[in-house]
Amino acid sequence: MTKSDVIVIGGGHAGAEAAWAAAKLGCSVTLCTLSPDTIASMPCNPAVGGTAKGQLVREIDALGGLMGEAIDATGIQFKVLNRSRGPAVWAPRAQADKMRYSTWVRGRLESVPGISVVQGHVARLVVSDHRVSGVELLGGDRILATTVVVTTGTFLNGLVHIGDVARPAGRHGEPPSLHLGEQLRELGFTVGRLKTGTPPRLSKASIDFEGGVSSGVFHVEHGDDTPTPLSFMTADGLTNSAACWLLHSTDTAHHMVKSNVARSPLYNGSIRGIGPRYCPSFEDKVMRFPDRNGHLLHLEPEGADVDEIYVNGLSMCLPEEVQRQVVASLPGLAAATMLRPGYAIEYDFVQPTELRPTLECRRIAGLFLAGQINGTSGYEEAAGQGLIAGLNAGRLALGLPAVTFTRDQAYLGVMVDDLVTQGCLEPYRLFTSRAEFRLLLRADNADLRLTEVGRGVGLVDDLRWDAFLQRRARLKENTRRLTVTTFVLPSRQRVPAIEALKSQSVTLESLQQAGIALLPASRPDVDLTTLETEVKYAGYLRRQDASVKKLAGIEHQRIPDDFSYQGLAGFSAEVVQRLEEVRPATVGQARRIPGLTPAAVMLLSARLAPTAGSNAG
Amino acid sequence: MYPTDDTIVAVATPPGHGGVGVVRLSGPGAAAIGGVMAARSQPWSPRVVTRARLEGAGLSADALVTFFQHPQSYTGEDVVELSAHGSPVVLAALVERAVSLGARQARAGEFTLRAYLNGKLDLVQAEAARDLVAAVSPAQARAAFDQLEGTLSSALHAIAAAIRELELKLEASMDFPDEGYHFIDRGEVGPALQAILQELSRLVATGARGRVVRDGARIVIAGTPNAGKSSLFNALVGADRAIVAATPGTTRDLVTARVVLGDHAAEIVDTAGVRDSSDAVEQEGVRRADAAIAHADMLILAADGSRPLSDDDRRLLARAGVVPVIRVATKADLAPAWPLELMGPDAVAVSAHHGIGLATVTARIATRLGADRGREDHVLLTNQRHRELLAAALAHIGHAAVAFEESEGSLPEEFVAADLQLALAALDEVTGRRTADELLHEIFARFCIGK
Repeated sequence: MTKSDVIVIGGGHAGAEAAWAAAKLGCSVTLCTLSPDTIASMPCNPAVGGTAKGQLVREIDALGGLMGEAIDATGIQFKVLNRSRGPAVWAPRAQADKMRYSTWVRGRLESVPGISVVQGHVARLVVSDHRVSGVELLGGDRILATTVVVTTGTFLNGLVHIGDVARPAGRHGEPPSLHLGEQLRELGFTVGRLKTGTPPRLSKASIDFEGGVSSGVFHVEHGDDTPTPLSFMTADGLTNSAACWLLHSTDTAHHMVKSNVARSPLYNGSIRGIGPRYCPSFEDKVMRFPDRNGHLLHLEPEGADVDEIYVNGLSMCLPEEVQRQVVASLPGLAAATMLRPGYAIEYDFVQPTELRPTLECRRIAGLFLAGQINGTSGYEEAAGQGLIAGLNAGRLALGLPAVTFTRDQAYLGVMVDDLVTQGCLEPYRLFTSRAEFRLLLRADNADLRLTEVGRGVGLVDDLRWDAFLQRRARLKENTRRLTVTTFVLPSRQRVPAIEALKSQSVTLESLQQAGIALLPASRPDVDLTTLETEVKYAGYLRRQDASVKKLAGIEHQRIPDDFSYQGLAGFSAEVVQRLEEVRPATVGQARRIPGLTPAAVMLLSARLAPTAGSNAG
Repeated sequence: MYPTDDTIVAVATPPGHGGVGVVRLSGPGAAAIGGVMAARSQPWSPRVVTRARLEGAGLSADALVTFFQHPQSYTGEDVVELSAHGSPVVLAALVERAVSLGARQARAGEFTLRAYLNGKLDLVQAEAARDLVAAVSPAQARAAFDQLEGTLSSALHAIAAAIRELELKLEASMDFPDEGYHFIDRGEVGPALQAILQELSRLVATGARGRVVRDGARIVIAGTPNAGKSSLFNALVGADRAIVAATPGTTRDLVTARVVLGDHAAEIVDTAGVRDSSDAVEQEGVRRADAAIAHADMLILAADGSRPLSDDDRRLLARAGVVPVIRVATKADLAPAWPLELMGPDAVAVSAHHGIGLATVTARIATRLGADRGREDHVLLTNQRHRELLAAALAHIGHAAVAFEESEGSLPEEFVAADLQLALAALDEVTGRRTADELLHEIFARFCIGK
């Protein structure tokens, strides 16, 4: 019988980052996957990044994670969204080559001696006395470990729906994981059911793109002229040649959906799991927004060399022949061949209020959950949680203290705090509007926020650390240069360049054109964005810093693990119940529990105050 | 801090004799204690008025008893209300009986505290309930009652809604840039900010008037030494509060009294006489008088009508300001040394000792205090905390409007949103918090998001 420090169940985006992070700490890691061929596979859209997600990928990268470098190595089109809306919402995104992405990540994991990939189906967790000590594979083999990270995605009791056909599956064509879900229920976990879906795939060769463009029904979209990488470590070499196409659905297609909607499991009562509001099925779009004529659809390649097109926006689970008719009714797609139908999938998830901010279960020591099992959706959200769970599972195995992130420090902190505090009613996705200190959580400064932390806990290697130190020194030197150089404003007034830059009409570029020399950088986009933002919007950043400090007292006031809410004066039974479900680690977290009134928070804080000193740390 | 999970009892109607007096019980034991008091064998039916004979501490009383089941009650807990004859002795006996059965005598404001903790009242309403109980003038009661009814809350909610509408569009355009929606034009942002600014300013401007209604107008009596200010003060207040003596400069400190004139509460302030003086103590009195005059909501300028006007008198009477002024010639029982019109067209001749002209002065004050009523629309900012938070919200919206205008509309959305969020955070402290999820929920409900 073998024993590892950490076992990771599942090789998706959460599992890959978890195994990678734990191995970086020096742990021995066993990665159990149903098939090594599907490591870091992308069962849905072929893209990484976007609003809030792009910032999150930069954070994962700043902490030495895989996702940023993987997409830079295998992406085929790069774009920064929201260019006009301010640096904190600039969101890098890339279209991925799915096969290459998966192969690249698998190669990275297999290159690490500490990680052994085991092909096998985990039947159950080995648990005794509220502590996990390993897993048992179907067939009876046991693997022991100090900690276990579960990243089973949509596989827990997965049920795939296409029309009136529903069959158990983890993803289309892959077997589900039935036993683990049952065991989690038996162990007393609050398990819920969610739904997600994916659109049909079309044959690229069967679509006349040029005809579509020239007849005006397709609008072609290319990457940015200068592609922006997702990783801080990428200097150049991005592939940016792929095109995507945009089209609008028409009344014919909407009519087709309406007249067949009774055959959609979403509308005939077969599906009870709750789907994401931000990513509705095509059925929902047509039925819920009947007045909107023309829903936006994107045709996206699944890879550079594969004959497969992803129809972004057309997620549906109507019967296969109806899907075929809907596709054929769309402008420019009359002759398109449907390779695979879209489908809906229902799956079990564990209410993340069961978790600590380290993503360890409060119920079972040593057991960590990450990714869709926690009710989230999205590769990036999964990867971010994988990193946090792998990091903490590794540290726990090594006897080191836990590491968590705060809401003013990272989207990672926002996401985990949202999950463990609010729980999930629908699949959770990050948005920039979820971050109250958004101006501080930018894509350009993720390294300044996190790389030093990553270095301190052993996630950041020498190569990244050296690059980071140089980048930080450049920022300091360039700021100094702006302070000591002067610039003549249009009003003929001569002022220090750093003052001139605060005006909306003066850019860093205009200063450079006027002869102010800045240090050359391998990544001018990151260097110059940070410099310009921190000077031009200093007032705004200072105010958010001030808000962070104003809340810091209550935010970080710790609540002991065994604090009793029973019989606490001032709290209704409902509030006590919510507090006991969530068991907030700090008063700041308690403050964000839905239904907790400001008065109750004040009472809690006051109640804790006399003992705060003895419980500190 | 009060315990908030026990059962409390108190007389809910004002002290003193009344036609009807109400004793209120609230908490988990309310139904049981009320049941024993009313000798009831069956469980209560909510919101049904029952006649009962109440036995309490050696007395018995006929009463109407109503049970309110939580959360449908004022406090959100189980509540029993006992309406009996409004005799303090009877009501006290009923409270005593309830206490002997396990209830605790409620402290001031405790029912309202529970209502707030249980989410039955928002903070504005809870504060208003406290003000309503404390009101001594009809205008105070009217403002507090309007707030308890949610008039101020709805005015605040309307402004918050306008800010949120703008924020929603900005947030949607930042979070969903490629959904095929055009959520907002840059051209709309400036006018939207100006409209919010205007509404918020209007509400903030009611703060001065709101303070007058809630805390009472500060009416300062000013005049040269020995002009009869203190006699006038005493006559208006109805008690010999200020020392009245014939030696000029007696009132060296400020003397104040709270009165109700007509509909309104007021604080009348007597000051040291204003003149050039070499005496250090008197100088300090004069300095305080000057400060009081500067902060007055209304001035009563007094001059001795029986003696020729001095230069000090003339300087004082010439004092023009933004606050209403009532000019008074004192000692009208003596022969006038100058024609009354010299003070101004509305001057009043008064004799404090003979009661001449006092009714005219009080009527003038009441009229002036009530003069702004028509413009109130029933929404007044009467609470200091609200005034400060709204002023903060106003400052943030102002910052956004100025920054947007100075950038000629090029300021990126997220910086406008940053100010809106700060303004909303200030408003939320008045009206209660809103979460990011609620914002997203609204976006999803209104727009078809999800490519």
